[in-house]
Amino acid sequence: MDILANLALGFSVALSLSALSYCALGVTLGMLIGVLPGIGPLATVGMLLPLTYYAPPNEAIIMLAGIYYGSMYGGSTAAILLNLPGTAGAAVACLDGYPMTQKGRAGVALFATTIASFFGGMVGIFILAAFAPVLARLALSFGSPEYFALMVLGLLAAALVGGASPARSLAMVLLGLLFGIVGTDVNSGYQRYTFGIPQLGDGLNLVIVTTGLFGIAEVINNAGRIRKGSVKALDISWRSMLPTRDDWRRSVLPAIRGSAVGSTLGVLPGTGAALSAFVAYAIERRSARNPERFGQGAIEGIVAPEAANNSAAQTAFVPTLSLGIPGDAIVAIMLGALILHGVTPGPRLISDQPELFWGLTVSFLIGNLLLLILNLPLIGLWVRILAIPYGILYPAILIFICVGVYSINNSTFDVGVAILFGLLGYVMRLFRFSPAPLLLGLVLGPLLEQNMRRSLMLSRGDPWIFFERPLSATILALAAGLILFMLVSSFLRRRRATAEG
Amino acid sequence: MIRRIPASNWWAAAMMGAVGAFGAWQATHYPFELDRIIGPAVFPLGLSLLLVGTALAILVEGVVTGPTLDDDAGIRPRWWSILCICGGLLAFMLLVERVGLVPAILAAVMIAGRADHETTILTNLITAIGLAASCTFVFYWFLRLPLPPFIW
Repeated sequence: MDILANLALGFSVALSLSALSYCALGVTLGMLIGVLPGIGPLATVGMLLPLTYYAPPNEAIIMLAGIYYGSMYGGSTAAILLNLPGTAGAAVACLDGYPMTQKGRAGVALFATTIASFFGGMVGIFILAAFAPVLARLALSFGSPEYFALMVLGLLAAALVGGASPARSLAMVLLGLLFGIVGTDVNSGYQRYTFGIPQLGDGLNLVIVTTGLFGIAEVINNAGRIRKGSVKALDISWRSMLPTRDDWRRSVLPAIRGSAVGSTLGVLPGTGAALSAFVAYAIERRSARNPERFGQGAIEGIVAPEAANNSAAQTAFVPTLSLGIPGDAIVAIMLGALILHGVTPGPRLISDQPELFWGLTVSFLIGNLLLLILNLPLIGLWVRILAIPYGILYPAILIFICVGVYSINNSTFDVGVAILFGLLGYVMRLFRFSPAPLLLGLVLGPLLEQNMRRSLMLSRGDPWIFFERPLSATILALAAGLILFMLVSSFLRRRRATAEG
Repeated sequence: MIRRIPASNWWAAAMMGAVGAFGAWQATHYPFELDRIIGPAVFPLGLSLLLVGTALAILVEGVVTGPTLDDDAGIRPRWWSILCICGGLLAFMLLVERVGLVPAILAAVMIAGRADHETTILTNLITAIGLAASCTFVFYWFLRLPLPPFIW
């Protein structure tokens, strides 16, 4: 009964005209930037954050979330048609989606991804509605040592799982945590790492860092490199989208398995949608009767990862909304947006502001339905958008970044900081650092320090407090286990490589 | 063994090591203890030292993976792109409060647009005019941001 009343509350929030318009705007923008190669969801969410300053918190977060899962839908379109993934999570869709296009089955591939994405999204929403409130109730008994331990685990997981170079990712997390320190220390009033610049007293603004690291750096990297695609010859009619009976039969189980993988990995802090898509693909390939079909246009190869990344995009909100610990970098930005709006994310959020949690959850449901409507009948439009030359697109991106960053404090200093972070982001890419974990560190930095200091205050400076409480000790043991696992697995990989010569 | 480490790992480790060392040195300027509780120096110092440790780990990783995984020929900065994009952004930054939004956008797009050789100057100009018009409408007239189109 409780859940029905909550859902009714959610519908009353999400079906209001303003929430519906923000949701529609969010998913359409998300779909658009997901389709366009060369601009990721991180840059877009960062760029549009200033716009949400003028919206109430519910609507702001509904729109930002819409951009996030909308981009998951859209990312696969460019991947399937052009072999250019719009988002990291969609890279897997290239593997079998593009071969399907080459075989003249682009319509079926797009239809299958849309349905699989919708199915995965629905599973994710169900998990979110069912588990986030339970986890939040459990988390009410957490003290600062437990939060400290959870954040350490989340940051380590973000650095160590899935990335090609764990040491580089760990460095990014640490750098992000250091950037999070910049500004006035709330406990002592000391200015740290501000170098006498008064504008840095309030700390580094999340929007400025994100648009620099992801928007400007991406443009520097792609300008003059990305050409418009040759998609004009593709005519995607309704008839060409209809899957055969064999396609349906092959898709059902992968969609279910993909959703299960995605919703599980999405819940874990630090693992994102991209990783779950890769894992789901690997599982399908391994469990297939004839794995040689994969990479040649197997429909399972797009259904499972799409279901996985969309369910993960929804369940990533479980730790964010119940514990206040973001699942990946993009959800970290949304957490930052909530904080900017004066909402404190954490276990009290669901009980204190049920309209925000349930409104958001129901808006996911509506957003997914909207995406279904946006995708299937309008696919021709998305295909045409793909043909916009990047040479026209990127100046527009840069101007939006400039105006967005300037409008935060009406200050050109902020534009300068964004340029510096753009250069930093580009240099990082050059030396194969992935800047996404940096954002997670930046958002969690102040929270991590606060919880560490609070714990040490409780114990009068004795760090043993993190190990004498059973829950925090278990979580820290898990973190240590993760490090050990990564070390052993990289050692084994090396031995295998030397054995193979 | 050391010869196996790819150049990109050396550079990456040097950068992180330098940032970590600088962070640690700065942190020593803040108090370690305030009113008998943990002071503002402890957390940044700990992080900075961990960053120095990670720089060493990047070198070790280079030994483990060897030069095969890292393609050192790939480190080629796109100087022209950096110059045009940053130049465009700097033009916006310097002009927007002095001469207004429209000239700032025109200058930024014309400079940044040169990063792509295949786009003609005319296409750039049309893009710039279109962007200046739409931004003035959306940001100045509609959202009422304090960004006047022209200042003189």
